[in-house]
This record gives sequence, structure tokens and C-alpha cells, in this order.
Amino acid sequence: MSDFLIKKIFILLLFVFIHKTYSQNSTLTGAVFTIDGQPIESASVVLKDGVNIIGYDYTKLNGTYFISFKTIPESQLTIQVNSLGYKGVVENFMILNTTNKYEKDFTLTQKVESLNTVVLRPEEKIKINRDTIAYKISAFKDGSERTVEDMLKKIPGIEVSENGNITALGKPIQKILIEGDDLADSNYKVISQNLNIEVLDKIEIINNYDENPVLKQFLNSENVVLNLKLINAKKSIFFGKIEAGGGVENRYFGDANIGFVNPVIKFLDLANANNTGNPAQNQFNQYVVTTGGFNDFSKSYARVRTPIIYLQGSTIELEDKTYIQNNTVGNNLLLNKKFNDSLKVRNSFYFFKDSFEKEYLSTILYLSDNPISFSEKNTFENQNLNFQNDFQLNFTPSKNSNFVFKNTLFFDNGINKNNLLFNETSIQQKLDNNTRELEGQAQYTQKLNTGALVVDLFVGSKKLSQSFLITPNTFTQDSTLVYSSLLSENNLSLDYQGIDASLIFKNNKTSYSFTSGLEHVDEAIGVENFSRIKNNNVKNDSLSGNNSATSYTPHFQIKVEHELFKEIFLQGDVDTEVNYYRKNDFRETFYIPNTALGLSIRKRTSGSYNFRFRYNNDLPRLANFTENFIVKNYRSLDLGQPIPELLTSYNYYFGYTFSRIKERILFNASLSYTDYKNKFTFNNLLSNNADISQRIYTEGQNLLLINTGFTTYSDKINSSFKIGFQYNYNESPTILNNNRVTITNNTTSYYIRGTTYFNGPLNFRAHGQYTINRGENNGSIIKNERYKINTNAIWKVSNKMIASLIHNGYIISSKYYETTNAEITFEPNKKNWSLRFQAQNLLNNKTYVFENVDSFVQVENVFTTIPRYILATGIFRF
Amino acid sequence: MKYLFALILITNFGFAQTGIINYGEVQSMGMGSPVGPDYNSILIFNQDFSLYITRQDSIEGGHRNERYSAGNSENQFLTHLITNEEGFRYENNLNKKYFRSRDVGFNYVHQDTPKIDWEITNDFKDIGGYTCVKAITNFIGRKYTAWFTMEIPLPYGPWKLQGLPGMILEAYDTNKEIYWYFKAIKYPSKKDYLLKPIKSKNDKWISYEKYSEKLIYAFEKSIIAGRMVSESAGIQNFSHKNNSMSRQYIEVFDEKLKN
Repeated sequence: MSDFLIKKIFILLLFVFIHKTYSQNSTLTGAVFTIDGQPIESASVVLKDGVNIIGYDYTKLNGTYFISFKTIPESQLTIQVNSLGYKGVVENFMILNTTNKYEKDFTLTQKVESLNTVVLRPEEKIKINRDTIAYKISAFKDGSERTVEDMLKKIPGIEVSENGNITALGKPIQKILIEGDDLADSNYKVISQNLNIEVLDKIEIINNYDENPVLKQFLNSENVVLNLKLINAKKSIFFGKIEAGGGVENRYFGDANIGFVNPVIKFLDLANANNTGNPAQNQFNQYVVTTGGFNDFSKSYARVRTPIIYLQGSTIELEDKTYIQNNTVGNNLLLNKKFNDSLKVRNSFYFFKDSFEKEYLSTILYLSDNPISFSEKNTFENQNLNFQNDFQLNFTPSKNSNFVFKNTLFFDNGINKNNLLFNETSIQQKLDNNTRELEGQAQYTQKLNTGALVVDLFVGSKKLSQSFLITPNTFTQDSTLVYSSLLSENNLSLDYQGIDASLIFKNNKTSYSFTSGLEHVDEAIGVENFSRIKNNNVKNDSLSGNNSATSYTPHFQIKVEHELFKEIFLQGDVDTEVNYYRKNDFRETFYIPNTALGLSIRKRTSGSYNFRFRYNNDLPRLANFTENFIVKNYRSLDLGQPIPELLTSYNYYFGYTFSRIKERILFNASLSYTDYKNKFTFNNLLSNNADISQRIYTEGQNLLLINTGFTTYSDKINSSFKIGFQYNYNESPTILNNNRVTITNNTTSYYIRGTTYFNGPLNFRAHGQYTINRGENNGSIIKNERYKINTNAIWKVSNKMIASLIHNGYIISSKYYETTNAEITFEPNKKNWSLRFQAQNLLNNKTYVFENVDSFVQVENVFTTIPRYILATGIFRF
Repeated sequence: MKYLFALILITNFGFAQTGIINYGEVQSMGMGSPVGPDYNSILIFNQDFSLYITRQDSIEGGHRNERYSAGNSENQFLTHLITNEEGFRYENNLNKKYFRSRDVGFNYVHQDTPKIDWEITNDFKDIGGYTCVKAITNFIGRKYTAWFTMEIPLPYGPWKLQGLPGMILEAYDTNKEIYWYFKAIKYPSKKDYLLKPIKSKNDKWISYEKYSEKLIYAFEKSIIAGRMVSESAGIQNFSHKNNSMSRQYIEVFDEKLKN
């Protein structure tokens, strides 16, 4: 017998011995009586060893009890006997070596019992933030999540769209907070798409979020924000994550998060570099949070200045990363500091450099009286260098007043290059964009008796210069000047200042507000065109000009929201502006009314209904009224409309939902119809080498959108299905080569999709769609059809490994195109590292072909794909 | 005669006095912390039996049916704060050794008083002036912590929690997704008229087994509703881990689920 075995037996024997000595099964029995000898029922008999309760029983109808217990011999135990209405008895007794059966009877004397302690009033509630729903992350994690965004996709009530915009409880979120503090404002995608999930404990949806502590006291807000709660947030924590990897075809991916959080300061640095289809600018793509409903007093007054020339090329409905090659490096530094209970500042500094390349061949057909067709072989190279700084200061001297100041600085340098073969002619286009923008907004809120006063001051100054070079000069008739160029220098500026003051009141079921304000806007578009021959610039006066517009706009607005009956709401909004407008030599005073009326009837047995009507008037911006031609690209010139007019439209909307889950029926339908009293269209002059268009006003344009869907569930195969139908139709009179024509476009889509919920490790999601595009002008019809099939298979190989395969297939003009991507994640339990493998374009397709029909143009694009590659990354957390 | 009357009075005090405890019941199933609707609840008791009532119109000051917070359909059952005329009722009858309830889905359930295997710890805390002892147990799919006081020597508690050597004043599960907290006690109370055994229509009762089957059926139906809403909105809803009854009900029978 080995030593080891002997030791084992010894230990076992020792254990049995000790157990026998120190713990012995005993019983205690007896009965509890009144002084008169009557048995007491339901008296509690509790046996204690020191403070430990080692056994208890309640007496039966005949007053008896029975307790079995384990204890050490020669220890002293306590018995407590209690019954409401009697005086309790406490008695000690010794555990003997000689027996393990004990008997004790007790006699209790009566007393008048009165317990009368009140901690809270019965109707009082403990303090809970009723507007918050918190989700513990561990409950929803399946191990495949990398970023906050991945996690959000799995949380009930939160949806993340393809471009990363987030809705929670059906509403677009306004921002993402970290431990209650704002770091990135509406640029929240830098957090959702970069921050690693491992540092988080909970995600909260905060409904009815109002940063304004004064309005919050009496108004509901439609705003929703997410709040990320960190693990160990009470202490100061320093955390981070580094992900890095590479693959074939020189692929790389690097991502780092470094954070420091404590109750007074929050710091977060998010850095990324990759060439695998994650451009930084997607996180900043003109995301405007629309503050809906009555309480929109946190809205931004910033005005957007749009470029007049774009040189980006075409896109298709496949994911960008399948046909656009990116090179990205970016860094976001976010900081929030609390100085004291009333003063807080936030600063975010963003920097990124993106470059893109893509290649495609287009065949274009203009369907006019004299059809024109041509081809373009395009390569695009775009580069963006961007800096942005956001600063915000919140000062809340008392609970009845609040002051906010916000400032944004924005710089962007972009270079867009396009080399193309137009039929047989080689053309180079190059656009340099230089953007400098400054925005500022200050808001003061003061509580009044039954409401509040809100005053906003806002200012902005935005400059953009666009320098556009086309070689050779395609607009000259002189074919001998092969080495000529056209240089177009465009300077755009927008300056605005304004003040708005609102008085807001609420009583019982009605909220109302009166707002008045004044805004001044200055806008200028200066265009200079030069013919360049051998570095000599000759100004082309017919393509040059200065346009400027100034407006002073006082306005007055009344808003009301009223609950008519239970779950029936009526909303109204009337806004009247007077615009003293001057553009070059044109002067006019415009009266601009805007009205909206809405009725929502919710939760009836026959379904929920939503009606909306909007009467809209708008004076377009200067870019529509330029008095000289703008060179849009090598073949397009665009002239504005010289006389400004108000554009008027009427929009009618109806939405309906019906749900009867027991019968497995879910139905929704919506219809929107817009009737444009007048709208811009173009007077187009189309020829083989150039398109010249001028903006003109037309009547009779309209747009109809219909959307319906029916969803059901099959219990037999544990899968849900939806069939849907979408239709849109628009009609727009236009002029093609001096002929007045009415162009109609309609798109009809039928789709079916389903998701499986099999019990096994493998599950699927599939979507099939058939779309018909149809365009018609004066009897000529162009039409295309496409079939689309997407499938997504997820295989949970084990608790540590998840594999997914995504396939998108298209049949366009009887040809089949597809993309297939695969991803495997491996995450060992309780380790601070994990691995990720990705494969893109598995079948190594070379081209994607798409056809589009729009107005009188039919385009076929053949895009060159990003070739197949495999990428492996390792993730390390600290 | 005078003495006899006094004796009857004292005896009466001793045996048939009624007490009433007010609790708050916070139901946050599936939310991971006690952020859900907070209901007023009462426990009325004497030496013979106790009756726990929650989500009753009159205790909340009238009928309430409010949207508490939205969410996708999987959470929709939670997202209403809703009371009913009689409320949900739980009767712990010591004399007859049965436990009856008017439970979720307005099912009338009769069962033998379940024996809960409590582990009593050495932790103490004061709740409203009463020294309470902490006890823990696993009961119908959740891990509970209960704080009971031996100063009220009766084996009652909120909902179905019972069988400790003293009244339970506070109880909760791991993440406080279900949370009962003590508000007030009145003993003796004049509201003895409230302490009535639960009556079912035609005295018809279902077994606990049958009740659990009904709950499972309702839960599976709601899961399907969730999947349909996701499909309708085009939201990815792949996660299977979410299919736990703990996201909707206090009682959890996950091991019996088909999906």
C-alpha cells in the first residue's frame, strides 16, 4: 500500500471520528400550554446555540412540537417559546453525553399584545427612478459581443439600424451617457461603436430625459437616452482594451479604448486604425437628433451649410466594405468634469483621417425624345482630414434656473479625385473642399409659477471653399485644346444669429407654449470659373458670379398638446414667420405659415390609429437661386431659379396597427401622401456631351408611400415570418429638351422574411425580396426587376465559440451576384483575452452589377469588388 | 358574570386578534434591479391563518392601468402597472395546513402548504425597530433572501414565502427583480373584516401542477409574441438565453419549457 493511500484512509477515519464527536442528531419534543392547562396552537419554539438558530417548530392543535437538531455534547442551548398574546419564555438547557432525546413542556401567561410600529405610511413608495429601465448585461450576453453596439442589438426595446443609429423604446436616442454624464452628445456612435463591452455592468434606458432641470419639473419629454453603468463605478477605475490583428492582402485592424472614471471626472480615449471597412466618418455622418413632441425645447438652432458640388461617385445597396477600400486612422478624446453640484463641463475632441477608393463602370441611358447613351469607367479616390471640438458648460445655480452654453468648432479638408473614361475620352476631376465652421448656442431657463421661461441665443459662422478642376476642359468647343482645364473656385459662407424666447405652461391635461424670436441669416455663394491653358487662367464670365442673400425673420409660434380622453391625444402647432428677404437685387417680404395637427388614438380593441396633417411653407436656401451656372461635373451645368418663391406642400399621414397574438396575427399599415403646390423641377437640355439644367417651379408634383406588413408564427417549426408590401409613386412634370413631359416613377416591393428559433445550436434568418422599378415619360417605359436573398446562419459551436455566415444574393437582369462573409469568435471563460476571425468575399467574386431607374435615367453600374481576405484579431482587456 | 366577561375579552385578545402589515411589492422581472412598478400590498393575519393581498384596486386608491414603460413584446407584460378589483391573494392556513391562492391569470389554486427549505444565517438587521434574521432559500426557480423577526412569532410572509420562526418583513431575490419591503404594522388591527378565506367560484380549485402548466403555456405564448414583433419590425432577435420565465414571472419553471 502506498504512503499516499495510507494517508488518505487516515484522513478519512479522522473525519468520521471528528464528525461523530462533534455532531450528533438529537430531538427535542414537548408541548406548550396556558396556565389553565389548555394547549396553545401556533406558538413558535426556537432552539438556539448562542445566536444561531439550529431548529424550530410551531405547535400543533394539541400544543405539541418536535424539533430535530445537530449539536455538540455538553454545549448549552437556549429555547425561546413565543406566541402572540402571551409572554415569551426563554430557557437554557445542557446537551448531555448520555442521551439524544430531550423533552420540555412550557406554560405561557397571557398578555395584551400591541405592536404598533410604522416605518412608512402604507401608501408611500420607496424612491425609484420611474423613468429608468436597467438591463443587467450578464443576462443578455452570449459571448459574441465586442462593442456596446453589439450588446445593444440584443437588448429588448433597443434597435440599432444598419448605419448605427439607435432607437430605444421606439424613439431615436439623443445621446449615450456614461455613469450619468454626457461625453459625446449626439456623436454617440463614437461610444457605441468603439467602447468595449467588458467594462460595463448595466445598460439603462432613461425615458423622459430632460437635461434641463427646470423643465423636467413639470413637462414630459419625448427624449430617450442610454446610460452605461460601469463595473465598480463607485471607485476610481482605469480600464482599457486593445484589439489588434492582420490578415492577407495587407489587411490590418487596430482598436484601443482607454478610460478613467471617477465621480468627478470622466475621461475616455477611443482610437482606431483599419483598412477593413470601418471608416471613422460613418460615426459622424450628419446625424441630427429630432426632438419630437411638445417638449422640443432642447433643440439645436444650428443651420446646415451644404456643398454645391459633390464628387463622391455612385453607391449600391451592398455594404460599403464589399466594394469600397478604406484606410482610416482616428482618435476621439472625451472628457467630462464636475466642478461642484451646479457646474459641469464637457469637452470632446475628434480627429480622423479617412481615405476611400472604388472603381466601377457605368452605362447610362437618357430616355428622352432622342435617347442618349454613354459609358463611364470611373475610379475614385477620396480623402478627408477632420478635426472637431465640442464644448459644453452647464450651470444650475438653483433648482429653478439653468444655464447651458455649447460651442462647436469644425475643420475639414477633403480631396476627391475622379479619373474616368467617358466613352473613349480620358477625364480627370479633382475637388478640394475646405470647411471651417463655428457654432454657439446659449440657453437660459427660469421657472415661473405654473410654467417656465426659456431663452435661447444662437450664432453660427460657416465657410466652405470648393476648388474644382476638370482636365481637359470638357465645356470648350475647341477640340484642339486637349490640355486645357476648367477651374471652378466656389466660396460659400453662411452666417446666422438669433434669439428665441418661449413661455411654457402646463395645467392638468393641457400643455401649451408661446414662442417668439428673431433670426438674421447672411448667405453668399461666390463662383469664379477659369479656362486654364498651360497654367494661364482666363476667367470665364459666363460661368462666374456672386450671389448673396440676407434675411431678417421674426416669428411667432403657439403649440398645444391635450389629452382628449384616455389614450387619445391631440397636438397642434401654428408657426408664423415674416421674412424680410433680399437676394442680389431682389427684395420681398414673405409671410410663411406652418401648421401641424395630429391625433393619436391608442390601444383600442380594433387597433391603434394615428392621423397627421401638415401644411408646410418653406423659403429655399440660396443654393437654389444662383444666377450663374454651377459646374457640377464634367458634363453637368446647373443654373438656379432667379426669383425666390415659397414652396408649399400638404402632407397627410395615416398609420394603423392591429395585434392579436393569440391568433398569431400582427398587422400594420401606413399611408403617406404629399401634394406639392409648387416644387422645383429641372428644365433639362440633354446632349451627347453635356447636360444643362435650370431649376423651375412646377405644380402637380405628388408623392405616395404605402407600407403594409403581416406577421405570423408557426409553432410547428418554431419560426416567425413576415410578408410585406411597399409601394411608392411619384409624379413630376419636367422639361426635357424643351418638351414638357410628366415623369412618373413607381417602385413596388414584395418581401418575405423569417427567423428560426430552433432549440439546437444552429439558427437562421432569411429575407427574400422582389422589387420592380418602373419609370415612364410620355409613353416610353423603362423597367427593371430584381430579386434579393439574404441569409444569416449562426452556429453556437460551444459556450466559447460562435460562428456566423452571412450571404447576400441578387438576381438582376437574370444574372446572379452574391457576397458571403464569415466570422468566428472565440472567447474563453473568465479570461481577459479573446480571438476573432473574419473572412470577406469568401467566393472571391470580381464584380457586382446593379441597375437603377430614376426619372428619365437608366444606369447600369459594374463595381469592382474588394478581393477575398481573411483577418485575425486578438483582443486584450485590462 | 363580570369576571366571566373579562375572561372572554382577554381570551379573545389572546387568540383571535388580527394584525395587518403593509408591504411594498416591486415587480421588476427581467430588469435586473428593482426599477419596476411598486405595488401596495397587505398581509392580514391571526393565529390561524394569513392572507396576503397585492395589486388590488382599493389598496392602490382605485383601479390603475398605466403604461409603465414600453419595451419590446417580450417585456410587454411587465410594462403595465395594472391592478384588479380583488387583487391577487395568497392564504396560508395553518389550521388546515393548506395554501390557497387567487393567482396570476385569476387561477384559483389549492395545494398543501409547501415546505420551504430555509437556511437561517447569522446576519441581523433592524427593520422598523424589529431585529430581523436573514434566511436564504431556493424556491420555485429563484434564490430568495428573507429577513424575519422572532418578535412576531408567526410563520407568515408576503406572497408564498412562509415557514420561518417569525414574520418575514423583507424579502427579495438575487437581483431584487421581485422585492417586498416593509412599510408598517398594526397589531391589533380593527380591520379583522379583511381577513377572510379566499372563495373561488363554485368552490373550484386547480392543483399547483395544473397552475404551473397554465403559466408555462402563457409564457410560451408571450415568447412567440416577441418573436412576431421582432419579425414585424425587422429586428434581429436571435438570443435564446432570454427565454427564461424569470423575465416575466415570480415563479420560474424554465426546466419545463418546450422552446
